Amino acid sequence: MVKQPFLLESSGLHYTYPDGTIGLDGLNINVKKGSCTALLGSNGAGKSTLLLSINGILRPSSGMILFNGEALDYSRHGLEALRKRVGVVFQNPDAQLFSASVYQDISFGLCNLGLLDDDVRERVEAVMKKTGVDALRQRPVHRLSHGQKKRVALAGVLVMEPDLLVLDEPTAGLDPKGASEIMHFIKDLQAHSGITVLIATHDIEMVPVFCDHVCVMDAGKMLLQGSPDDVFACRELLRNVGLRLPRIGHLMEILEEKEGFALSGAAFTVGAARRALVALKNN
Amino acid sequence: MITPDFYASQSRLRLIDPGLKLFVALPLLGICLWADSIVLSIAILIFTGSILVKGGGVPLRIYMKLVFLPISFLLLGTVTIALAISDTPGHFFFSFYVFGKYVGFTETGILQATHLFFKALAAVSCLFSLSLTTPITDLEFIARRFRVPGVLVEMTGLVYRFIFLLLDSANTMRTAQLSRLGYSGFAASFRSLASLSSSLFVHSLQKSEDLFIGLESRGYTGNLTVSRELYESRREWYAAFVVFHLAVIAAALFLQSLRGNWW
Repeated sequence: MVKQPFLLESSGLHYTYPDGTIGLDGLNINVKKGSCTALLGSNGAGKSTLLLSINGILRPSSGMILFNGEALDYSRHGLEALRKRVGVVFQNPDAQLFSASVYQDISFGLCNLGLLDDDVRERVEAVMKKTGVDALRQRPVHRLSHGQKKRVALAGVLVMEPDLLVLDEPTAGLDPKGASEIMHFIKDLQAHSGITVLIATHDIEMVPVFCDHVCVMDAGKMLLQGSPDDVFACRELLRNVGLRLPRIGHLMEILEEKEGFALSGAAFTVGAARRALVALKNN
Repeated sequence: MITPDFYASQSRLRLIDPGLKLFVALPLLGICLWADSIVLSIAILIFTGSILVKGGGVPLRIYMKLVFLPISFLLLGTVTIALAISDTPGHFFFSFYVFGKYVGFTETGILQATHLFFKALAAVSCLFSLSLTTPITDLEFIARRFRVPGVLVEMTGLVYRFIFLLLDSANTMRTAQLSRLGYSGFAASFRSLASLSSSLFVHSLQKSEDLFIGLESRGYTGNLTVSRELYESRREWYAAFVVFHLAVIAAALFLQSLRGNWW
């Protein structure tokens, strides 16, 4: 069998909402296996529409989505199989947690897969330990903080062991520590399991630190795809669609263009900026 | 705010088979109501109370508060039962003379009221021995075991979960209205309340759609099947409580045979 480099590919996706709003307008996206891909775009660019199309909740009116090289199968059975492999964690955990019991909510996905009771229990316990929600089991869901609910929601998706983890705004509404913890957790998870991650986010600072691929959407189309360095090099394009550079990148841009610093290449993270400035000092 | 569900999910007895808990609480409640004995009621009150406080780890203060929560209601109810009206002052041991009638307490009235008072307290405590050790999510499994239709059980669970979300949304909206002087006058209050209720309705609809998408993404096919945690359950425990209940019934019969009104 030929090894597929892309876990998710799409071409020419169109989707129009019943009220006439255009969600997707000929979108192409490629998500490499094992990558951590960021999906950027201003509000209304179609990110959510895309996420819901990936696991077959929305069905594009035209265009193709290939998951692992195969076109999505919208039959009942096909969708079940797809949703087992594509896990979506929604922005608002309250939209996902339906049970007042942490344990029961996490077990939901597995029970839908028709696993044996003992297997379910074992996997739920394991994922609870891994995501650090073990200590929350003694509290009803409505007694949890927003950050804790997000963790439980993540656990409820991870327990199904998907191939593609789709996160909608994983850091929104979290304090800096909580946001950093959840991103580090996802990074560790990737290092151990090789899971592919797609993150829709407005948290631009986080992108160059945690992601190795960036997709920029605008008005239902794919504007740019590439490594963070390549994408953030297209400053004007990003600014035109309501986005911006990471603050560090902006600072380096100003230092180079307005203050005449002779920097070698751009830097978008604290570490990269530090290296660039140290190199400058040593010269 | 004291919420029983919080203590239920923290209870040390939470992982005991909810079926057993039901098997302890309900027959005891039945016996308590049937026996109608003050001594037995107090004994049951102490028994269930110590299970909750010693076994379940509910703070004594909280337990007292919860059991005595209905006390004002209970006192009002029992006092009216104790009161009697008569033309003659004969059998009252305390009475007022109002409008040509005697209103007061008779011995039978007080006896009846005291019985009722302790019976009610013990019954409340019996129910708390269930509701302070068993979160509603665990009760769902019992409901299923008793062949309650799945839809009903799932609805109960969802309603329970969404009460808190609804309250939360309502609170947030009310705060927003308050901070824009939404309740500063009579007319304004009505207007604000009207718009609050209508937007809550729309809000709920939106939330339910979101939830549906969330569930579908995790493979929802029409059943909210979940797994349960492993409960501690032994046949011997059931057997022990059969013996226990029989002993309580025997005690009740013995107390009745004494023919004292105050037992």
